[in-house]
Amino acid sequence: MQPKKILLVEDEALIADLYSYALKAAGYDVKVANDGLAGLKFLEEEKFDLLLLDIMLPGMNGLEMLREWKSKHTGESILVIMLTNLGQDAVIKEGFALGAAGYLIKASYTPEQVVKEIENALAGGKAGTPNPTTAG
Amino acid sequence: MLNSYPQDQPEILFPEIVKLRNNPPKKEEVKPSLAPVEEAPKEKPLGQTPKLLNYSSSTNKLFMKIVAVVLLTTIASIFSILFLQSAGVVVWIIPILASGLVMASVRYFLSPLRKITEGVNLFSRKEFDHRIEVDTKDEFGSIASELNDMARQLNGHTEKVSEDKDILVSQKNRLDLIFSSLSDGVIVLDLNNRIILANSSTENLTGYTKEELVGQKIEDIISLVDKDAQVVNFKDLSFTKTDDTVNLIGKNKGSHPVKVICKNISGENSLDLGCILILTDRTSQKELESIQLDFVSMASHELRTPLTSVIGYLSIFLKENNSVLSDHQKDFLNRIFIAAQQLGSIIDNLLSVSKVERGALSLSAAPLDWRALLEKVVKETQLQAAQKNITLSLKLPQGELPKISGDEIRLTEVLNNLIANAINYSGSGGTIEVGCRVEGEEIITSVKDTGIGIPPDAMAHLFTKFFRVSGALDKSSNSKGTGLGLYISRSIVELHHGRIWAESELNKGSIFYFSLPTQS
Repeated sequence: MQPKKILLVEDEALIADLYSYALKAAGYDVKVANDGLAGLKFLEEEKFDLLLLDIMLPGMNGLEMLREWKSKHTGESILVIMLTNLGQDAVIKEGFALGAAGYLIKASYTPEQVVKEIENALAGGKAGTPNPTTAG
Repeated sequence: MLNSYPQDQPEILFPEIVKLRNNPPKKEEVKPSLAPVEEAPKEKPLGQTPKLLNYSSSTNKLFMKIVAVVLLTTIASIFSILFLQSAGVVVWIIPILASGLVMASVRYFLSPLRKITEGVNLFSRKEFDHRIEVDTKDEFGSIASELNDMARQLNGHTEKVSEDKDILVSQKNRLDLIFSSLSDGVIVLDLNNRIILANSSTENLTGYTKEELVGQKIEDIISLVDKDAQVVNFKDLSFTKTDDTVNLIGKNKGSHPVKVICKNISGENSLDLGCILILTDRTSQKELESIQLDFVSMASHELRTPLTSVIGYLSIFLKENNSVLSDHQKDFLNRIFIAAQQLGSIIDNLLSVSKVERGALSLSAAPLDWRALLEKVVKETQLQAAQKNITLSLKLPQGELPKISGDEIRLTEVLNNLIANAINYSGSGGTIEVGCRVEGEEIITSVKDTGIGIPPDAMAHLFTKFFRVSGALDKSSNSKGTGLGLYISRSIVELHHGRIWAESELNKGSIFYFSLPTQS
């Protein structure tokens, strides 16, 4: 069985390494992009099973990147989990409106818990909806 | 036939015809010379004065020519015969010569026919520049000049049609280009709500291609819902209002916030045009609103970033080294982990308070089953209580509880906060009792503990920001001991039009109450 491919779009090196490590240890094939443009390039070149998307990125933010991808690929679907430390209502709503399967606030989860949510999403379920009071 | 000539015919040209038109002619009344005119087609370009007047004078010209030739030849032959009779020359040569002459003349008179045939041939092959060179003053001459005129006119018409077509095509191309460049989505519907036209921006907004859109009934493939997920009829969206953004659900349930304006197309029903929908993308506007972070939001994002690394790496480290660490080492590392999580809670609470301060704490109210909610929260906090050897119980009145409308997530938070406080401020072996009662138009919920109680001078400041009863927390407590919990709980309860208060006795315990209005 081919390992599932995950694209992680994250600009903070420590955090990118953290999740990259945890996901690889759980048996996934992980590619890391450090900004929106690099992420889009990856998506054009390779097929991924899941996109883990940070929002605060240099230049094009995560939501803009997702919207850009969607406008170039009308009708196609992509499994996305927002993985961010932003939690504003409007941002969460926008993420789900763009079709995200889940929204996780990084600081509220251990890497192990994140891996569990990812497994959930890959199996077709939802992956986290932040608490509206405390998220942001 | 003559009656059907157009009304505005210049009377000047055809006095005979006008006369005849006004008194429907009987055959015997028609001037013989006009007889051929009866056969003239309706569409005869009647501006060509000279030719038509020639009609009457050119008929029978040919016949007259031939008659003239025959007569002359006959007379000449008779005279020749009579004259030559006396001279005794062979007489029968004359009739032969005469016939020869007549035949030659007739052939000569009919020669234009060849040129006319040639010309007509060329015209039928659309070579309208050709001119039939026949200028004889007889029927052939008339035919030739009429044909030439007709060819010239056809030429002119053909060129004009071609030019008009070019203009139309280039206009259509311009309109097409403009239509597809519109940044708003435009959908044109016929009278049966079928999509006739859609531009490129519509493709982006709906997720369908033009081919998938055209021909479909719009309600079969696209729906518009408002923020309460109620379906909106686009025909109701004919007026521009400030806040009428709806969600367009297109292909594969993809959703897009748009502003929709629907305009009926008035005019001929035969064109089968119903209405135009204009869809304005509201996504970027919403995003601008959202990503404009205030200071607290930015600060908390920045604080959470290194915290993620601390919690993350520590968690993995503990998991990977569980077997090689001593209990002492594990204990120390766990305390670091707990402190890091507390930091996370503080940041969460700061954000909540900021929301309360801004008035941005929004509720989504829905009918709640209060009994079920209490049962759920108590069940979920059992583990936390058990860790401190505290008994947590739920005491509910008999019978059905009246209905409450509220935000389930936030009210759950209030309960969690009160129960967590009770656990944190109780010693080992204590009891916590969650209960509720109906009083008038309210349900009053209570959380009672047997903990250390609250000093009297603290009671007044209990639900304010950052207030903490000093020194009371256990070292191992994993609590939201930020001093913000009660302030946030109070804000939530008061947003629900309820009240929150407490009773306490030092070293005996405390009871926290909050009320929620019932739905009448």
